[in-house]
Amino acid sequence: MNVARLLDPGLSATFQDSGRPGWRRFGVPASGAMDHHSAIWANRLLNNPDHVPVIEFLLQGAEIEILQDCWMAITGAESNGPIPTGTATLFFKGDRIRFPRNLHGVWIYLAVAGGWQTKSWLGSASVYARALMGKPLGKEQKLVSMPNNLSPFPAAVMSRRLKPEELTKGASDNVFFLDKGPQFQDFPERSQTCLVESEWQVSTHSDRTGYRLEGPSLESGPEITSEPVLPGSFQIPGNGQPIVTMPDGPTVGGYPKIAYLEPKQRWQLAQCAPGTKIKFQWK
Amino acid sequence: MKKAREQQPSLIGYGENNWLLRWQDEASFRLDARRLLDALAIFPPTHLLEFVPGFQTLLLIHSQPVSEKYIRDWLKKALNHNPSTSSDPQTHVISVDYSGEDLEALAREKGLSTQEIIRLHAETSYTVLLLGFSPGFPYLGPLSNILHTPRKDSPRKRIRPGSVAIGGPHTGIYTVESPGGWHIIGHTQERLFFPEKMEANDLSTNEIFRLNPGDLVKFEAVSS
Repeated sequence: MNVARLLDPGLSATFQDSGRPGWRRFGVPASGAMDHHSAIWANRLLNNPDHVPVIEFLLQGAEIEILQDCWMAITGAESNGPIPTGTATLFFKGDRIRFPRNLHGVWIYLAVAGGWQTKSWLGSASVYARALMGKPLGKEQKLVSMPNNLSPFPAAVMSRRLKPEELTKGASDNVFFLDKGPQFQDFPERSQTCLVESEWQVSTHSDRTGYRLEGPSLESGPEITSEPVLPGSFQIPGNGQPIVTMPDGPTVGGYPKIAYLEPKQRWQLAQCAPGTKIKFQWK
Repeated sequence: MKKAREQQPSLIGYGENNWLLRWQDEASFRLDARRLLDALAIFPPTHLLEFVPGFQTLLLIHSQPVSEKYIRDWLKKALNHNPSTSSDPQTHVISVDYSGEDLEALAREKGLSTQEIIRLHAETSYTVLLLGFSPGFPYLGPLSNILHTPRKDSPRKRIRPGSVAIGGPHTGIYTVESPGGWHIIGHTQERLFFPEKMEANDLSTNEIFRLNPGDLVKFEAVSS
């Protein structure tokens, strides 16, 4: 059903789901939602299965017009729009949903009852344009829900909200806990210490492939033969400024990896906007 | 008692669910690679989500934690098992029109004729060492030492699919339009990546990606 129209995609909008594991050995990263926790809870608010596609919006500027009464859920970053994050609401024809500016967080998720109807590539709807798997959503794009999107709730239920503990915690003190990366031992001890003793700032040069961190320059370990890389890896290039690999990041790389951030922590890091000050601790 | 193998790969934890196996060098990994790829196809380790070969590494990604002892035991079994002949690596012959944009410059730099470059490139049978950079992009080796060439300082903004190129100690084939810093020596009409098959419900890796890690590739010069 053609339930809505994207008046403006804002900075960027793509369909994402739980990603496409199994294809890394062919050079295709898993992709999937940057903040998987929020994407799942957008679906759960509507009694959708966890893995059905949601729309992922970057930061701000998106606007949607509702064409048919329908249930939608919004999770992830908190915008200054009228609908708080962590809410499912029955929208009516003619309503407009706007995300003018984010108060905190980066990625906003929009789910519809029954799930969005999208194409899928290698078994996943997650857009990864570099490998010809779809494109970001454009202006005037029709947004179609799966057919038979029955109301998930009986009449007179108008809204549903997540409990605070179900929202992505923006890591309130912004401290993240690191595992050692595969080349941890190859780094000088002062780099191992500096990583956890310094304050870092999320760079504006951050996207779905990687988040760059700005801070003191870490003395790097020796260059390595390219080897497989996982999202959450702290790669240290020659300039000593860490790059944290994200879901669209390359499958192999030649920078040594000092640390690794497990997925739940990585989802929280993904919600740290450029300029956010963060700190790390070894587990 | 059987003598222990000289060079066991080291096992490195990479997050709580994953193991990175690293061999001493590329040559020792190549010795084991076929057995391993065959074992991964026939008896993959428990809870395996996916595996990713590198040049001298193998990443095992699991859906839940698996003990180091389990991986060591699996590895022992994998390295002692004899691959069946039916799983012999496939050989792909790729026709190349050696008239790439960088062929003449490369020949000048090496002090060779373009014909000699072509001969050196086409006389070797290559192994698909890994697929990466972009979907289905093969890193092929071993490349004749004479042809090893550092990447360009300023990459080209657009390289068309089918471009056959040299980068560092490898040769490869661009599979999608992308920027790139490798030296283009030729072009092929043959496709290695079939994106139109990605929307199928029944996904067959061989229909989407022509090459698998471990396959063999031979280039054949054709004139345009």
